[in-house]
Amino acid sequence: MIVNANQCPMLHPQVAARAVAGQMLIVLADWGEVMVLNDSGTRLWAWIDGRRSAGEIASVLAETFGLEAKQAQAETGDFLQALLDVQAIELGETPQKVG
Amino acid sequence: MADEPLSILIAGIAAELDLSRLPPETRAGIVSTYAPFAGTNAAVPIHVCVEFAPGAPFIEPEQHREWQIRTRERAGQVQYTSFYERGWIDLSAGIAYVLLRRAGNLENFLRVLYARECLARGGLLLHASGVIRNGRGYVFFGPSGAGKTTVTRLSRDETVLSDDLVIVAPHHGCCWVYGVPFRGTMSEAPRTNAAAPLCGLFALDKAPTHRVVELAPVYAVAQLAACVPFVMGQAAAAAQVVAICTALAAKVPVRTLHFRPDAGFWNLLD
Repeated sequence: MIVNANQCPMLHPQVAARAVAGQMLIVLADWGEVMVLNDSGTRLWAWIDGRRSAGEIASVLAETFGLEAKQAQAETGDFLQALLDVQAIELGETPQKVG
Repeated sequence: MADEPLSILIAGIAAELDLSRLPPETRAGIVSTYAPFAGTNAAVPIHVCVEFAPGAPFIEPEQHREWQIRTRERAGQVQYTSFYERGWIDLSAGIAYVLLRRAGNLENFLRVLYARECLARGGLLLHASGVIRNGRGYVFFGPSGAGKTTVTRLSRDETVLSDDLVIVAPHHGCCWVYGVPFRGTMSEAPRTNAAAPLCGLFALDKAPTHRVVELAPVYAVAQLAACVPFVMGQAAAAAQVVAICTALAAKVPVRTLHFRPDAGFWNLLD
């Protein structure tokens, strides 16, 4: 599956995540794998909340780091795709309701 | 007495093994294996009913796989299946059951049982070797092939807890390392019922020279969590493991030990 801008990424239910000293550690329980995200991955991970679409995450990334929209979209797409490939996230078509 | 349960005590966790339905030779083997850990404490033990029935393997053994364990959660129980053992664990009720085939062995079932119970108590069964030197506990962890058994063989003058698995758990506000009656590839490894305050955790790396390197907190936690077997299959348990590893790494130094196969690495750790 390829991530498109309207889809809303959310954590896979079999994922555990915790920030340790400012860096995000992720456990993929289905595979027994442990991953550590780098600084930019940690920042992007914080914006994956089931409410923001991939496009909105790219916009936040562009604003936060002063990136060109195209570059931010590419970086966000690559990151989300990598997470999707290891089943760290799932994609919803509409934002998840909060509460 | 054949009908009396075998009471064992590992890291302060008591289990009572009902072996009365086993053939005498199987029962005698289990009693002998776990004799160093025979004991009780004031806590209510986990009652483990062990039965035997001849029959086909529960999982057909594969030519290139030494062992295989399948666990899954169902209705509050952990369902357990291996080649020659099948059972379940209900820790909230304090009971467990395992059926052995002729070639069955209780050890893997007990590993899973203790891994789960440790986690419930804020401790970890860790894929690591453990050594007590001058009253201080050292834990050497890493995946298969990292050098756990090698470090153990190079520490024969010390109290070797295990070459494969140890329990790390809080005790009176400190972290302690405990021996377990489970072995790795070192057939002569003792089953040492001993414990000590933990003074260091070392991720192993075989190298041309001895060297100790600090690990950044997130990598310390990640590498520790990657060495916690049997309990990581559910996100909630994995989150608990990570939380315990984070607390552990905050209390006890976690470093990488690059080592070559001689006992000189101890000079860096003392």
